Amino acid sequence: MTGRTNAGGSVNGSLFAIIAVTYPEGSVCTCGGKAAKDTGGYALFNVKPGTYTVECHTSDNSKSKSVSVTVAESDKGQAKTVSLKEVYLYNLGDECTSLTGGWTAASSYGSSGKVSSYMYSIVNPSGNSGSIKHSKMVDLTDYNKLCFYLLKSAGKSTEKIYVNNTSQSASGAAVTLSAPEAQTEIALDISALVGSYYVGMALGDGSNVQVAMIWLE
Amino acid sequence: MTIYIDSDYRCHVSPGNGLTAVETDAFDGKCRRYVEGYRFVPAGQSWTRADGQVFRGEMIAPAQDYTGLVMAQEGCDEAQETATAEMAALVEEVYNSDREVIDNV
Repeated sequence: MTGRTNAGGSVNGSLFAIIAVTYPEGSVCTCGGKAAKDTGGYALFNVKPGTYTVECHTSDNSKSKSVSVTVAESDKGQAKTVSLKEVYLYNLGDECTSLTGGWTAASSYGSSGKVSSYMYSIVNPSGNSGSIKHSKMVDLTDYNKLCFYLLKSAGKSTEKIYVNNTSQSASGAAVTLSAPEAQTEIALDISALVGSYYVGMALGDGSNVQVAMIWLE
Repeated sequence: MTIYIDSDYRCHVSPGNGLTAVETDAFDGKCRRYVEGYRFVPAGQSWTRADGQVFRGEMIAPAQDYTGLVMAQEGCDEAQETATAEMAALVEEVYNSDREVIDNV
């Protein structure tokens, strides 16, 4: 298997668990200070119970995540998966349909739509709403950060980025925009989420957003 | 409602040492278990996760598995409905009993 390594150390020859890491090809990946044997984008580290820092480095970037393996039976012999690779849900017009089912931008009174490199929704004031959402739930288990790259936002409290598995609304996890944004990355902590969810934007009076990229880390 | 956040932005429903009161409608109608499973970062502030990632407010994010929190809330809602139904039955019983007394006067 490409990138396979035992660098994490089978302790005294006994395997307890595996940390499986996906990372950008060409990066140097380490787990607990031990390096993967190549830069192929995937590595397995044999580990004993403990907390490990998994990192990947390129010449101009580095990323890390912390992973814990407990002594519990539920962890024994299991693989903990870690992704240090960005997975796009929307990327400059690419709707990443196989993952998301496609995106819609809507506004009950205003204007909305998709152009070549971004989605937008403008909601006129006085009791109106809008949304930017996809149709298929996405498994967030292996990710701990959701990012939106906004070309623009009005900075209204009616503009919310959300993650939810019961409805496409901001009742689960949410970031509320509180100041006008231009070409800014907005992040939401999703490290405690397991399973499949919708992500999107719930919009209200006076919203005016342009979304160029949405990705998971 | 008023919630109280600690230095790690974890939510609490009761005041306490080192907790800061915050007004939000994000948890209206939610039970203690649900609220205390969340992290609330107010607008203008930011939270640095253990891995160094920075998240700025206003952010409301589960600090525990969201499905478990939803199940806890559903349990609370169910208990509330049961209590309401029992209260309604008790009121009706008292009413009928009073009617009986009045009718017999």
